[in-house]
Amino acid sequence: MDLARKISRAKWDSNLNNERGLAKGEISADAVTGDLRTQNNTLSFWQCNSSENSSIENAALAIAAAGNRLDRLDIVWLSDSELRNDGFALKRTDGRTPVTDLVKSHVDICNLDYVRLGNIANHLKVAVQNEQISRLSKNQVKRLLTLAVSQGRIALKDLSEEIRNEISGQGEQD
Amino acid sequence: MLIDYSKLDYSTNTSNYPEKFFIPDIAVEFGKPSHNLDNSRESLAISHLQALLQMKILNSSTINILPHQETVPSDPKVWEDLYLLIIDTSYFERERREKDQLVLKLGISLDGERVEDGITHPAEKIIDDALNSTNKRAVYTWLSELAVDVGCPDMAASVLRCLGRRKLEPLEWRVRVVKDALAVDDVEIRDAAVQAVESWGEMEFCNVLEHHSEVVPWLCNYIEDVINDLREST
Repeated sequence: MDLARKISRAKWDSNLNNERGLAKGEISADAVTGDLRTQNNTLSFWQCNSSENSSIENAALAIAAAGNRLDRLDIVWLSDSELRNDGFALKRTDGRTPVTDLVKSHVDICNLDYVRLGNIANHLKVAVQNEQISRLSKNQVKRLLTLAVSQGRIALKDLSEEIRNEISGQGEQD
Repeated sequence: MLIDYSKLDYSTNTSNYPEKFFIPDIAVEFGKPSHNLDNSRESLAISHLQALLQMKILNSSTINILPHQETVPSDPKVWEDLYLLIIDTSYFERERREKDQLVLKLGISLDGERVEDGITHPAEKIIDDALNSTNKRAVYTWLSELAVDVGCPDMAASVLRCLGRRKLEPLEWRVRVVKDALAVDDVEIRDAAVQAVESWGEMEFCNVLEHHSEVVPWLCNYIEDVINDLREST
């Protein structure tokens, strides 16, 4: 099993560090402070099986449905067994998503301190290098949400107004 | 101070129109002609301060000092009707302050919270408010500068992502911002530019993306996806 999370890929491409004055392979502090924001010393992940595209899409669906606007998504995944072997504490918790059948597919990595958070960052850097990452275009995200609504996995009223408008074809920007 | 108007290259000043201009109609008061290019291409005697400010305006590609005209003819002869007499020097100071305030507000907002895919950001409201101000054209100029500022790439990409969430007019302005951003040596800024195009979903950007030569493979794939999506949507 794997654990998936939304990141911003451009911040994690360590091959391009020279553009920002960092050495190749170093992890940008902006990536850590931006994409690894903890709450109560925990970091939120969604369970998925990276060998199945639909499973990664489920993680993306859970994340996208909880947002308030429709955008492309970068989803990265880590092996939960590797994380356990590294001593991380994983705890199943209910995820905040309107996709009811995915609420229980949520895992928190707990008891994070500065060093452990750095270790997670290192796992993520390696995952990005190994292409354990998928970018879903805005259209792909829209299709996922539309399908989930039509299948009754999400109640339309539980989505933000902007997303509702987008998937019902009335997407207008401000 | 003397200005020899015959030596000013007016065609250069008009060459950037109508892509990039704003009218500082608050700043410039128009009165009697201070010169007439048809009849007297000789030097004029004006105050040192006025001369400096006139030079600054005339040599700036970003400033149109023609009054009350939204569309600017490309004919350089239009400059012959230029009536510039009194310049309110406080305009420049006020404009500088407004720009500083906008940059500060955006900076604080973006420092406090990063721009996240799928989540609206308070900086979007700051941009909206700035664009609703009286100095709208100047705000466009500042935003286009901020969006490609490689000195602050994180902020630039964030501003660009916020702009992508607004279908701002004119289209030509957005096209130029995207072109400028794609030319920058920073993958996050280029990525934000492509995301803005994806968000706007307009065929006019297909050409821009197709002519961009991207070196980063994953961004190259994303550009292809966006181009395909744009084509499918039409």
